[in-house]
Amino acid sequence: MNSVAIQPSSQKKFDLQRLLEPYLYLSPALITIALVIITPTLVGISYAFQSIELLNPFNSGWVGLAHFKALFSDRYFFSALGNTLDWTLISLFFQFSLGLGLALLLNRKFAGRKLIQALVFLPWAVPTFLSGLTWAWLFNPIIGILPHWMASLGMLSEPYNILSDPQLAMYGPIVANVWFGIPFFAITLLAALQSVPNDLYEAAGIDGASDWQVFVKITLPFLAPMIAITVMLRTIWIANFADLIIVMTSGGPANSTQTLPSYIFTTAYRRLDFGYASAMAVILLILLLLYTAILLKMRSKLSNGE
Amino acid sequence: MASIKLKNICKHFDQVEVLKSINIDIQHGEFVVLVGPSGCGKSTLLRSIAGLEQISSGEIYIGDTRVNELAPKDRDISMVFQSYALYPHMSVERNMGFSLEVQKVPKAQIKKAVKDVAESLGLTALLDRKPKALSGGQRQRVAMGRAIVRHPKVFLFDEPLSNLDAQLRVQMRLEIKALHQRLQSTIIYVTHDQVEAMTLADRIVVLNGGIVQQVGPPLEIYDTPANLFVAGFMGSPSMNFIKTTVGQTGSEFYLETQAGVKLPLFHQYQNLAVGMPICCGIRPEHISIIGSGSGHLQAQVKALEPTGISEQIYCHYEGENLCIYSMQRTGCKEGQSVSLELDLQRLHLFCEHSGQRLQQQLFIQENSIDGVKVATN
Amino acid sequence: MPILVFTNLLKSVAHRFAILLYLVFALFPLYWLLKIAVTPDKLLYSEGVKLWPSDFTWLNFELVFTQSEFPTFFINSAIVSSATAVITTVIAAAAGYAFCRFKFRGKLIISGLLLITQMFPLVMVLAPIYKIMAPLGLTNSLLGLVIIYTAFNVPFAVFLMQSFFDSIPRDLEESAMVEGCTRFTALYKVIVPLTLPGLAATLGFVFTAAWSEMLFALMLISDSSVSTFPVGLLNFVSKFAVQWGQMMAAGVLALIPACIFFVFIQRYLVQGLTAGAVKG
Repeated sequence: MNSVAIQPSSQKKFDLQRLLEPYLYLSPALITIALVIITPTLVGISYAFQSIELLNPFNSGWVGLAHFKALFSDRYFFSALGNTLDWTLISLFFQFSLGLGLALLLNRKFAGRKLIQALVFLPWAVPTFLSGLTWAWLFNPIIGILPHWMASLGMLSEPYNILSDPQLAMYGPIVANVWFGIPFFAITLLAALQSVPNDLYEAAGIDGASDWQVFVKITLPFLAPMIAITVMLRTIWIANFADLIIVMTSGGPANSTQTLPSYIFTTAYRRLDFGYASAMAVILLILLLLYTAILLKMRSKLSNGE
Repeated sequence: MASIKLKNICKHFDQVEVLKSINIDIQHGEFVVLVGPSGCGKSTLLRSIAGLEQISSGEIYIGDTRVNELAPKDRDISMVFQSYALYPHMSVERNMGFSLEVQKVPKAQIKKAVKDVAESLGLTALLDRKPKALSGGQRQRVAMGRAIVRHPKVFLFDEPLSNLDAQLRVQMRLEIKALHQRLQSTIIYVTHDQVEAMTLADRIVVLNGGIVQQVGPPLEIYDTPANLFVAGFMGSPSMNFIKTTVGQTGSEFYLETQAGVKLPLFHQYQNLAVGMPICCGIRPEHISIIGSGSGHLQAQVKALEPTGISEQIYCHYEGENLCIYSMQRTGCKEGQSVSLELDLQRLHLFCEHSGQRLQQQLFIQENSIDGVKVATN
Repeated sequence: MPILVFTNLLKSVAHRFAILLYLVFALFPLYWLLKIAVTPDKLLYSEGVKLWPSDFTWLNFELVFTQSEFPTFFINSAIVSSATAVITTVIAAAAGYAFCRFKFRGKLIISGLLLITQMFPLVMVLAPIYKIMAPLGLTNSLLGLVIIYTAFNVPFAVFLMQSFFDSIPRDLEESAMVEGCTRFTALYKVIVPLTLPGLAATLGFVFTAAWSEMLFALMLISDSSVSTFPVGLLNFVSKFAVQWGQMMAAGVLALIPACIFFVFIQRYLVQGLTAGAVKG
């Protein structure tokens, strides 16, 4: 057969084409991310070891670990760290539990469900700076109603702006964050709830399980993977989330609401000290990577132990 | 229409060898059925011929063209999928005309071609509907119509009837057979249902574990299965197997069951040796239940399955289960002791170690007519 | 029986009540925003805490349209968000398709990479991106924003598109490929029409995300002719600290596109995520 001689190279070309096909589809995404995210990140990490103050351009060059040393004696840094923990954990707890509650409520058919579902998810669509501003207003006793309600409920001795109280200020952005974040959990958990096969509920009903038992023994295990992913993702997003704090309190009063990301932003944007800001960002990244690693380890331990 | 040659086809998935050196020659216009249990590689082989899977080594020829490096669209084949794969967002008419649309055939021509095929399959009234408004049988026909419109060299069917209910399946089988007769096309058909294989095929290829077990016309496979696997897989209800050992008295050989029953052998077999363990196969329709205790085997009835036209009787014999197929009502009851007579002319002998069939030896004896040597069994 | 009926009734009432609470919680701040926007300036402080203003005015909206730079901000945000949404969706669809249909080397690594990019503190890349964009002339430009927003939205969009593609059977492309399409043509003629809800959901999600983005806009844009909404609004705060009414009117206007988009696509998000969740 004549074609025998041509075969090897055309076969090779064909095989190569098939091998490269997936990468072709991936390339736009990969190139964009490599250029716009990965490269600056690596550059950003390198800044942590340099002195880059845009206001002080003569003071530049490699400074090794100087920034990190400075961090250790920066009490603002440590208070920011503590605030970040509060901010993240409290926001997460309320967002998750209220989101789960909403998902459970929406999982039943009832009149007007479609409309109500659309409305109740709306907070996610509101630009965060806007919700920050609105909630700042709501907490202001002159133009907002919340302090008055809180006072009449006995939560405050008299109506005043909690955003100016170092003890309570953090709760302002937290409430705004919870408001904003409930739809995220509600949407993802609702999706997970809807994928639970109906047969399981029917079988449980025949077996005589109570509502609580059904929830704990059937619903929760099914939701577990989705819960794990969403909690992990959301924790990271919240920890990185500075918008609300910047808009509502700018980190004040007296730095009581300054979290790491907002402190980093202020250092970069206002003081234009990129080196120091990057050093803090590196620490934040390391903490988050540690957190993810621990969670993944826990998850594999749990699924191995089953 | 075209012939198909498969030469030394091998395929691995990661470390697992899924197809092991498959060699098959299919004549043009032939209806070949690939049959075997789940996981035997038949679908993989079909998809490799289509170009949807790549083989690790070997060559595939459609007609005279080596198609290894050709994309599915260049191989001039049509395929009917198990799930029919009808495009949900297109009407029946557009579904059927899609391949021509892709080739930029003029619209008027497409319309006519689709109309003709639709008429031949009784689909004219459904042309404007979307797939979700069709029943299972209708969707199947649309899938076939779509395959026909292109007049390809080869038709590939991947278990097209699996999703239909029993009655519909019988009906569609006849339609597919009629299609083959009408179009005289080369068809490769994959199924796990050996009844489909028997009724549709010109030739059957039996596959197991990625290896071709036997190739041949349906009745040849049924009457002379090449090994234990084919014997047990083809035929429903399936063949009975009894463990025996070879014995000899004088020049006559016989098979002795574990209970000591001696079954005389009527034919000569190659490679027969005393003491050899033989798996003796006999089809259910070659066993009969006789009145007195004078049959070969004494067994006890365990269960009865009357199907109206026939009766299947399951018996217990020396730890083995036997099935007897009778076209008459036998009047047996469960728990009853019965006497079974085997049609000794219809025994299948398989070597227990290799599973291979023991071939019957041909006698060459002097025949008094004209001194011509004649071969007899 | 009566007891069963009663408990069921009680459950229903409790259910409705709980939903009502969530609804009020979700909508109250938005109502407040609207209320301030329609309150005439002179009543703003005296009636600041009244639930229902005694007088309505559309004056603030009028002023926002005619006397401020908000129309510019609105248009800029619209351009940036739409462009980002479209470009991101196309890129993410291609990558999501690759993840869904192909087996290839490095698949795990690449999807791990996409996950990790979600973790980076945004603030960490603010500085480097500024330094990189400045010499390229991409600061103070809408194009610069589009590039950045696209990159940051791609990972999650890929996750979404992959979920949507997962729910479409492979047979359909294979059938199209046997019938004469290349894989790309099959994708375009058969698969894409079936993923329209998914595309809509991704478009809406990215649009909403881009519309709200504040940090990068703040960092990179100082020229008010190219400001997007967040930047414009915040500058407004510092420059004109007393014109709350107008600011809130602008805020309401800013809200409308994002909310409308989101209301329509949230259903597809739940649908698509459900399909993906089933596959695990």
